[in-house]
Amino acid sequence: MAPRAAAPSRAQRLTGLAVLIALALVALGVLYTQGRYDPASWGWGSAAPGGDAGPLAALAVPGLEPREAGASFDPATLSDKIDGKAELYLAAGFQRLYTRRYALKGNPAAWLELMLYRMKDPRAAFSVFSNQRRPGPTPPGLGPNAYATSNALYLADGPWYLEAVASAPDAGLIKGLDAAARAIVAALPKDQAAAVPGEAALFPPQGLKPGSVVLLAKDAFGMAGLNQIFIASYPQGAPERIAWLARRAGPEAAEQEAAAYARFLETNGGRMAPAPRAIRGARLTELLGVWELVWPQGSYVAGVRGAESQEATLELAMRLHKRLSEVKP
Amino acid sequence: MKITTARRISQAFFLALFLWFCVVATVGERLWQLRGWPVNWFLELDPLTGLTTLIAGGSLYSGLLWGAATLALTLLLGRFFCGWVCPFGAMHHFIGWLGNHSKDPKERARRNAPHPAQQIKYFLLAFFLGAAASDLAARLLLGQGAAFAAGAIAIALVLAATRKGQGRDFYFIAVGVLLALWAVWSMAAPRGGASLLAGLLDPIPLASRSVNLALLPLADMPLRIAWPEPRFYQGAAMIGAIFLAFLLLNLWRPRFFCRYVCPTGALFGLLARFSLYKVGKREARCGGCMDCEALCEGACRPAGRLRPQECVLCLNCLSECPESAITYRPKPSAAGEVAPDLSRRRVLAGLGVGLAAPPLLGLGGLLGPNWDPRLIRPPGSLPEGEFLRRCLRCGQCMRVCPTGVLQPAGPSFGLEALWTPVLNNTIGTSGCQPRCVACSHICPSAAIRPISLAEKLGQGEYAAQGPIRLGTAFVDRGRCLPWAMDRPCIVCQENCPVSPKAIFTRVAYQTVISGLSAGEAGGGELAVSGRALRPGALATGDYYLVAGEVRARIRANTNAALSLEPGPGWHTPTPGSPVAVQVRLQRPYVDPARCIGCGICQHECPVSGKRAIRVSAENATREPRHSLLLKGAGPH
Ligand code: SF4
Ligand code: SF4
Repeated sequence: MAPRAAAPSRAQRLTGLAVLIALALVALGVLYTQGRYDPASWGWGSAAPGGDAGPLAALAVPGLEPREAGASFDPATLSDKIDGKAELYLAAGFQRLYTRRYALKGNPAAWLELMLYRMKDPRAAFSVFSNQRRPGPTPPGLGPNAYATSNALYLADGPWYLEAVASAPDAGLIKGLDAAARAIVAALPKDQAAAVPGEAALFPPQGLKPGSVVLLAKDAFGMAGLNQIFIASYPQGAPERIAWLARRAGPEAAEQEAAAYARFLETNGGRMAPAPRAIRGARLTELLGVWELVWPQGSYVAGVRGAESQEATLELAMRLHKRLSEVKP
Repeated sequence: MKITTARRISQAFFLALFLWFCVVATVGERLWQLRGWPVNWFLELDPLTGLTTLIAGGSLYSGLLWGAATLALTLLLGRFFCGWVCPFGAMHHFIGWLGNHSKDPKERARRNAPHPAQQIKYFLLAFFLGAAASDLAARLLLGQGAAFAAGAIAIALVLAATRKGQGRDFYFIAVGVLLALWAVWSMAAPRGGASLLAGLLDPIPLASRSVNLALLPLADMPLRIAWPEPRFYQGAAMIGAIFLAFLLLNLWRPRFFCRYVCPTGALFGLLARFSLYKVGKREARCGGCMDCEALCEGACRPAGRLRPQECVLCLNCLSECPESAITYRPKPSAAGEVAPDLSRRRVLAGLGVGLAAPPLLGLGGLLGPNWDPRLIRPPGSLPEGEFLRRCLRCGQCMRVCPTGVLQPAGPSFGLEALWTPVLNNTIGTSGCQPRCVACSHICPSAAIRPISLAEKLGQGEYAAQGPIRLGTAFVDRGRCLPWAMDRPCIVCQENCPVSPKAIFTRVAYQTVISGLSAGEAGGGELAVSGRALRPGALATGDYYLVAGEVRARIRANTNAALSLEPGPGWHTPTPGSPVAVQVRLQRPYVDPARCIGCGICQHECPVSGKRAIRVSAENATREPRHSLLLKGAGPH
């Protein structure tokens, strides 16, 4: 049998105890240290100087934590942030963009970016909102001018336009987008009505493609100076019929614009045809086999484009004409 | 409680703490994330990291002062770090026990017998110190006396540790000649000559690197605690295999790494020889059961004349001796001690090879004309020469990087850069995040110096110097879709995060289908003939029909007709006239004055193998001589 080791001496036991105490002290030291830290030293949760997130600066969203202090851009620097699309915003009446990133609490890799645009008025906000509309459902409770895609949420509210984009189509982030949008809508000053601008309601409802009303801020249909045009789609065959209208300073301006547009079509290869009598001042053009009708009506200039037959063009034009004659110019 | 029980508790505690630090090195504020956990503490406790960075870099980064405390305690207690603290040692100890505890005591005693190969670690220590010190004379020349003194101490340590005896004169002549040669060489070729190779085998950097880059990614695959997505590290297999090999070798010889390889253990050994407290025998004679030899972790022959420099203070002998003949006290062993079994020649050779290694490696020209543009270093990195003198290769930066863009350099970058961090913009979840400076704050040796976000972005007080550039992106026109293949793509431009963007595009129209003739127009369409078109293929909005000088955007197409959106000046072509289809391309260009080399464009490029836009280290801020631009030159 192997000889047995002697029982531990008193010195051994005391040393053992001292070691355990030392370990406990190390553990305490480590625990103390872990609580003292500055998140700014990782570059997260801290601002770079010059950050100005405007209404987003104080925005708290349940379930999200800010990953940065945010930034803002003015018309001169907008293209730094969104580059290719800047023109669209500038033309519509852009004033300032506020951006800030948030991440799901405890998961900095799951982040979303809020881009809140201050436009000059609700019309301008509606213009950028409508021009970029992608197919997607309207989240309940966020008003008519809101929709969500698989990883983003867009809404127009008064003069504000919000784009909230998540880093991935992840369920937690989608919830975060929704929460962020609600928090923003609740926080924004309600100084201007959030409703869709009035002209949008003038399109004949029958056959109108839902969500197709768009406000083209500038150079509509490729014609320089044709600004602030509302368009709406009436799908029936291909190409789709488009009705459009715009309000001008008075009947004279409307008449001048209708004439200018007809001339523009002509220089682009259009062929003038005899216009229907039913609509006063109307001009009819054919280009590549599709028809365009444009007419002034009070302070409005209106038109129908894209139909392959004169009949289909006139049918929609008559309905729009009727709606316009119902409103006071 | 037995003293060995206390030792096991201590080992388990420090091993668990070490692994915990590896797990929590994730940027975030939750309890299992970085917060304020002192995740570098083990690296700082390791005196070799401090000593070599001090010698090679000429300054000691504050945290590394912990190493001095470890050395002081070693002088008092012996190699307590190896037996009680070192997490890598604990792993060896445990696996060695697994492989050997069931063996017959004689066999165990045989495996634990001292072996001449234990000298190898001293050779390695000398080599690493030499490699770190070979630039010292140049530093002296530059007036950095403190660093020189540290180098002299390092050499003195090696000399003091080697055996006194025969051949003394020859020995001193050899050392003198070597030092003289080294001094002359250093003065003739000042700076750039040192290399911190110690991290290759220094146990704490080795264990950190292996756990961070191999073990943790593997373990985290199903768990997703450390990273939200699976983490990949290039060359992780080699790092993991070396780690595993060292662990498995314990089955053959317990504490294989500690006995034969560990340069830090060798450093401790040199001091432990003179430590105040030592393991030893109360009397020269004992019962001769040899139990102690069967249990001795350090292979230091406790039953005979002890080798204090090899003793890792496992204290198995003390605890298990049936005669209580073993003591731990401030007295040498009654049975006598054996000085380190060091061959002067070998240690000198180690030192000499070490001194010669950096200039030899330098012949590759990595720090000169043959600099490697693939070595894109993290933001805040020192210039390459300094970086190599400081980087421990511990993998902490690569572990903490939230995107995984930081990767260990593989062997193709040369031994001097092996396992140091480089950006690989392909492998992670993104390039280097503009608003992140995590790596610079975790780096234990300031090879990546701590930078603020304002400095990285070039804001506030750094506005004049501009943002930190890691390199510059270059478009590979032979692979870029709009350049080489007439396919529209502006992914890189869209993703470039700098403001104003560093990538701009120039529009070009390229004919992609020619030989068409116009037919009749109708229904918004123009019939074409001469070639059948693929229905819908031209409906992306990027294609135009060109007739003479004017273009109309193609909205849709069938095999013989195009739906068009005419632009100003358009006139419908007469039937029979020639028309062609053009694609509108936005071809990317990089503005080197704006590009920060973050690599986000490279990461997002849809040419997913060898990307069509790639960053290389040209124009990186840290190396002004690699600048692409003359100051003030250029159109913007
Ligand atoms: S600064 Fe860049 S390289 Fe460093 S950890 Fe952050 S993302 Fe990674
Ligand atoms: S590497 Fe340069 S060009 Fe590419 S995204 Fe970064 S800053 Fe832009």
